[in-house]
This record gives sequence, C-alpha cells and structure tokens, in this order.
Amino acid sequence: MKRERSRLEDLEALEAFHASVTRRDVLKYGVGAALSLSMVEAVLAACSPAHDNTTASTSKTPTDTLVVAVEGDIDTFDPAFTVGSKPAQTTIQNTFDQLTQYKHADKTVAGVSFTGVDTESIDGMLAESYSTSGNQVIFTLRQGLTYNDGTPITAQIIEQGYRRIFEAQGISYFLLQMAAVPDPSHIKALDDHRVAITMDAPNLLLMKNNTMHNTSALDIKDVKAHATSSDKWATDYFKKNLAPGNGPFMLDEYVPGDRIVLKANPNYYGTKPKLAKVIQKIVPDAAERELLIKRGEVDMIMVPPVQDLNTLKQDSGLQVLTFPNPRNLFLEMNNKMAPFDKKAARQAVSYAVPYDSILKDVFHGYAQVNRSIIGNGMPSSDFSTWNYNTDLKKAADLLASAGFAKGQGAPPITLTVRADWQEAERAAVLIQANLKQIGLNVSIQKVAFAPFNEQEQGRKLHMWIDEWLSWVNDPWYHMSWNVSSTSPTNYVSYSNPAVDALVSKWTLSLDKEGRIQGSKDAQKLVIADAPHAFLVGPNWNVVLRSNVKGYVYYNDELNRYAYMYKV
Amino acid sequence: MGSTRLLLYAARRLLFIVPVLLVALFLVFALTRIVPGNPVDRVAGPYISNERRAELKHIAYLDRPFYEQFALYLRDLSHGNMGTSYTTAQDVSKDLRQRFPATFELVTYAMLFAIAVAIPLGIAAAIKKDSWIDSVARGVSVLGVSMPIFWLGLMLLYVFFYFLDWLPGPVGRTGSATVFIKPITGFLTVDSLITGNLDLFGQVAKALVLPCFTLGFVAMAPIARMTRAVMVEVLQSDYIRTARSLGLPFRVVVLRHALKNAMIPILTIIAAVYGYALGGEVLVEIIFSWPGMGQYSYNALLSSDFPAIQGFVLLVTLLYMVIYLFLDIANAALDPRVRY
Repeated sequence: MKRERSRLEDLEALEAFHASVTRRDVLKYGVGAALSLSMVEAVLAACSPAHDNTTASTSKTPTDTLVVAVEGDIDTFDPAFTVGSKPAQTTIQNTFDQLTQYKHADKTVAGVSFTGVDTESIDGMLAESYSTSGNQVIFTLRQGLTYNDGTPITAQIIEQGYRRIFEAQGISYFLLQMAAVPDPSHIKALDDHRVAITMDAPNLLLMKNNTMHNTSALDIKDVKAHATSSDKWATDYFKKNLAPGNGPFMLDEYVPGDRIVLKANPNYYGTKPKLAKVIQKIVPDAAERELLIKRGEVDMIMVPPVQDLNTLKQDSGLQVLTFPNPRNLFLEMNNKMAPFDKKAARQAVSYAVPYDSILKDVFHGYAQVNRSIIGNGMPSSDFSTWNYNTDLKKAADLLASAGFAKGQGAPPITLTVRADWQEAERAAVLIQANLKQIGLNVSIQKVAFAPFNEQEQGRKLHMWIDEWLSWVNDPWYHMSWNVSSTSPTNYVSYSNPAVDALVSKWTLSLDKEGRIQGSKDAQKLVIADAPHAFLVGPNWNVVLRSNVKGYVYYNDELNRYAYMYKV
Repeated sequence: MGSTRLLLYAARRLLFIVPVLLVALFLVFALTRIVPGNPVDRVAGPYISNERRAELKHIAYLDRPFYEQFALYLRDLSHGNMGTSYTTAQDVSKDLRQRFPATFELVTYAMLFAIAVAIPLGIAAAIKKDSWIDSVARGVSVLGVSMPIFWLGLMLLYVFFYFLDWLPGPVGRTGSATVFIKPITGFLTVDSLITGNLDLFGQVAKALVLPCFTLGFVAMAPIARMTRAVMVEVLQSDYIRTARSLGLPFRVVVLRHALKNAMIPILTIIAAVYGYALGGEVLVEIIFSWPGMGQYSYNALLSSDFPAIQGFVLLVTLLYMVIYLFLDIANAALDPRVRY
C-alpha cells in the first residue's frame, strides 16, 4: 500500500494541539501568569537596584571609545549622493574634509546657549586659505595633505573630484548650480596647490554650499580603479564601499544592519581626535536607544523620544542637549486642491491650528514657536507679520468667506502623516479636532515612508505634516527650495509671482542688507498667503552620558566626533 | 534498491518545489505592486530630472505592464539574478547572504533551546499525567501560545537588561563588545571560538540569550504540547504495556520504544515551527536590533523595495520547502510503513 505523509497530517497535528488547549486552560493559566508577573514586578520593585530617575548606571564603554546608537543603516557611502541617511552622512563627514568649514562660535538661539557654528564666517579646512576676487574664489591647499592610503592630495585631484560630482549628477551638483557654478569647466587647478572656482555671477551662496559633506572629493585613482564601461564614475561601487578619506577618522568596519565603526586617522593633518574609536550601532527604535543610554551601554543617542526628555534630564548620569534651530514643522496644504486652492480657506486653517497645545502636549517644550517660513536662528527670520493666533471664530468666518460656511461644500479632507512619526500623528489628532469645530471633516491617514514620499513628490497629498531643515543657513537658499514656484520641493504647489521675483532677485545677490530686507518682504507675502501653517520649530535633541564632552552643534545636525572626548 | 527509490522520491519532491516557488513569487510580486509606493521615486528623491526618473523606471522595468515585469523577473532569476535592492544598492542575493547567518544562528539556537526543553517537558508531563509537572507543561504551552512575541521580548528586555542589568540590551549580535572579528562561518559563536576570542564569545553568547529565549519560548509551546499528547497515547498502547510487563527498565521503555514511535508527529511539528521561526522571527529581530533577514525584509517593506521583498520571500519559501523535504525523507527512513 502506498502511503505518503501528507500536509493533512500536519494540519491534523496542529489542530490536535489547538484542540488540546481549552478556554479553561487559557483562563486558568493566563490569570496565573498575570498574577505571577505582578508578583515578579512587586518583588523586583522591592529589591530595586540603584536605578531611578536621579541615579543612573555607570558607562560601560572604554574611555577611548564612543559608542553611539544611530537610527538606521546607510543609504550610500558615496559623498556625492547620500541624501537620506544621517549615519551615512555622519560617517562621510568624519572621514572626509572639505575645502572650507564654518568657524565655531558660542551661540544663543531662542534663549538656549550652546557651542555651534557661525554660518557667516568660513575658515579653511583642506584649504589653508582662500581669496575671493570678483566672480572667482581661489583655494590654496595645505602642504603635505594625503588621503589615508598615503596618496597626496593635489589641486588636480580636487578638480577631478568636482568633475565627478557634476558628471555623475550627485546632490552637490544642484548646490553648485544654485551658486552659479553650472559645469565642471568652472573649476580649475591652477597648479598643484591652488584650485579656482569661477561663478557665472558672484554670490554669497557658493562658500556656504561648498562646506557640505556632499562636496567631498574622492581620489580619481580610486574612482578609475572601480569604474566600469557603463559606470564611468564608479557610483555603484561607492554605494557600499567608502573611498579612502582625508578626515580625522577612517572607516574600520561596516556590518550592514548592525554597525559602522570608525577609528582615528593616525596621519590626520589637523588636531588628532581624542577618541581612538567610534562605534555607531544601528538601533532603529527610539525607545530602545533610550534604554541603552540609560543603562550605559551606549554613550550617545540622537532623536530620543521627546516625551521622555524631561525624565532623562533628571538622570544624573546623562546630559540632555537641546538645540533650537531653523527647522520648520509644516501643516502642508495642497494649494491646487479644494478647498486649499482658496487663500481664505488656508488662512482659516492657520487660525484653527492649536499651536500652544502642539508645543506643550506634543513637543513638551522641546520645540520653539515658529511663525514664518524662515525659522529660528536663520538670518532675517521675522515673525512680526504673523497674526494667526488660534481663533476658531475667525477661522469659521474665513472659511465662510471662502464659500465653505460651516464646511458646507468643502470636500472631505485627508490629513496624511508618516506611520513612524509619533509627534506628527499626535499633532494631527489635535488639528483634526479643531478643524472639526469649524466644520471641516478631516480623516487621518498613516502611510509608510516610501508611499508617503511618492505621494508627496507627486503632489498627490491633500493635507499632510512634514518638516524641513535647510543645511545651508541662508534665507534665500531656504526659500529657493520651499516657496519658489519652480522648485522641485515646493510640494504644496505654492505660486506667487511676487515671491518668485524676490527669490530670483536676491538668491545670488552680494548685497547683504538687501538680502535681509528682501527676505523679510518675501516672508510677509508667504505668511499672508498661508500656503502652509507653521506649526512649531522642533529642536534637535541629543542625549549623552555625563562623561562625554565636546559636542558641537552644526546646522546639518551631523556629529563631529573629532571634537568629542570622554572623561 | 531502497536507496534508489529514496533518491527518486527526493527528486520528485524537489520538482514539486518549483511550482510552489512560482506561486509564492507570483503572489508576492502582485501584492507589492498593488500597494502604493514606488522604489524609484523614493531613491531618486525630488532633485532628479524627469528624464532620469523615467530612465531609472525603465531600467527597473517599472514602466512595463505587470505580466511583462513578472516575466522579466523570472528571466533574470533563471540567470541567478535576484535584482538589486533599492535600499542597500547591492545585489539582493549578496544582501541575503550577508544577513542569513545572523538569522540562521538565532533561529537554530532558539530551536535547540525549544527542543531541549519542550521534549523532556512533554515526556515528563505524559508520564506524570495530571501532576504538577503536567500543569507546568500546560502552563508553558498556554503562555507560549497566548503571549505576543513582541510583548515577551520587550518584557524580557525590561527585566533582564534594563532592570537587573544581567544581559546586554538590544544592540544586535555582539552585545557590549567593542572589539570585533572578521566573520569566518558567519556564526559568531563559532567564529569567536575559532579565533580564540573568548571575551567576544561571552558577549555574543549573552546577546543571544534574550532573543533566543523569546523565539524559543514561542516555539516551545506546540512542541511540548504535541510531545505530551503523542506520548500519552503511545504510553497507553499495548506494546508498551507488554514491554513493561516483560520487565524492561522504564527508562528504556520510554526512550527507546515509546519516544521513537512518537517522533514522527513531533518531528513534523518541529519542522513546521522551524519554518515558521525562519520566516516569522521578524519581530524578534526588530526588537533586538538583530541584523538578520527579518529586519532586512521589514525595512524593504517600509521602502517598497520590491526586489528585496521578493528575494526574502523566495528564500524563506525555499527554506521551508527544503525543511519539509528533509522531514519527509526522515519520516520515510524512520517509519517502515511509509512507502515512496
């Protein structure tokens, strides 16, 4: 007789198992388990170790090693292309130097004092000096510079590095183009030590845009070694392989999904880092990062859960650093979709937003009042013309004047938030409640990161919450991305010819005073048009073990480990 | 003759894997394309020109009808090309090769733990039916079935890492280690011993405890329950009574006669649970920041990374089928009544 064991038997086996667990069992043992767990908890509480809100455990990491819990994996190790991953950008920033850098400065923003950078004051880095003459900037390289594999860094290599950025169309290609450097022919090695960048029109943006990690120059020898016939600039290879750098640290090890380890570069030309090693462990969950730093398993975390920051502050083993910055948290309204195609409807929403509740209940004070497209700490920020204090009566009147009295005739509104963003979701619930009071029916939709991006970039969203932080601390850089009608990132499809004219006039201007006044004029127009509601300006928050010193806040929010040390 | 028939049987079962894989692939291919989200838009970002965006979609076949995309995917797959991940920017096969050891090590130790506890527990519960040990076995089974895996993982972390500080936190495979080694086999417990790095071995072993217990506890429940149920039945059968009346030692009766006959359904449930654990340990990997295939597939899902999702499903389906193949062969070898 032929007999083959069948899946039916498996099913029978499983069914037998399920059948043998009765409801009585579940109740009996479930209650038992609950009681035992309660007892365990009570016992644990009774013999609680030295671990409460005011006394933290000690750090478990060596003094010469900084262990950082980072939020995610890298997107690419190619400096020209990294755009969506802070761990990748931080790794590149610490392993590559640029021609120039911002000077450190003691700053006070929104009443908070810290060591940051003066974005109007630019110092040499790979270049020991630079000089500007008309529309040309000449950078003079330091003597004896090398990549960490020993290859000398010459002006010709820097020129080739920029050529790669242009021809491969990396992210910094846009930044250079914005600063009137349209193609690689504008960047020339004058001799072994001098590089000249020529602008089509002299401007203030070039020097700022050129400090970013995206402009890091790879050694052309490495590029050629990994180029293929279809990939002349080896962009595929450098996605997962970090090129030899020239910064204070070198990549020691990268284990996908697990860790990125840096070690000090012994041949660094500048001040040698005090840390021998930096281990960036990938821990995507914010609550778990918080547990790790509380127990001393890691020395530093970024993006901690905002609602826990006040508790963390009480922990004597920790330092909570908070940095007010120009970040904007927007309630975005699609200016091409009803009812937001009417200015009065957008203004009505701006009046209906519960700003104070969002500040206090969602951000627990770790955010600043933000009342303009140009946020806190960015030159020319001007909140004086904003008058949308929460006023539901005014909001209802404006909605009526837009033709939607008590919401009649307005289409149902979908407010979209990213699924992994708790603060946005909480803010959305508060906004939904207030909009309901003026007659607008809003449903909240949580969407994963990828479809959210796709719909936002496709201008398919109706109303949504998003944020923007400009890495270049310049109002016209910021407005070029956010309110220019031709910007690829003007997702709300805002268009005002007067604002466009101001962007066009001032972005490349050398007139510092004129740029400030022009920016204030543009802010006034944008506030009146209300293409978005400016919810708050969330702070950048970092938690360190108490023995970690030397953190410097940069506008790109990337850690500079070279300045950090442990005591 | 017998071995030839066994080989033919194995070959027949291997052929059966192909249509199952095709169906699984078709389903996952269709599902990923129904849900909103496009990997090219995510990777390209807002700055790229529309021409370049269209070019990237063309390269990824995303500008073609569904059936063409599927046919092209199968064509590439037949050449060993699983596609390139949009999130990691490297071959999916390479991604999976890099992450498989982490998952395999976790699941294997979890299953070893589950089997080592569940089978003795099930046997003891069957022998001492309705005693306190039977109650313990039932309790373990009920808890294993009823406790959500994420809750159990978080509770264990809270108690053993945060509160008691006995075990490392959710920092992946190496715990509190700050010195690492180059992988040899991919099993860090083995690699650290080969290289004589006992400190790392200690850290790796400690890092394995909580995730293995979390996964193993859930896996333990059905195995213990099945062992108990089958052993109760077998221990009441005539041949066992005969063996006992002949004066054979009780240990011999239980282990050599009763357990051997009970092993087929137990093996079946172990195989089912092992397959489930390989594909279903995603939550454990997320909770413990474990750099394995589960976390990889989770990130791929969030990013609409079609090739990565397809690659993960393909590999897990294949593993599941292979486990069942081995099980069937083992059953055929163990049970003389089975013909093939």
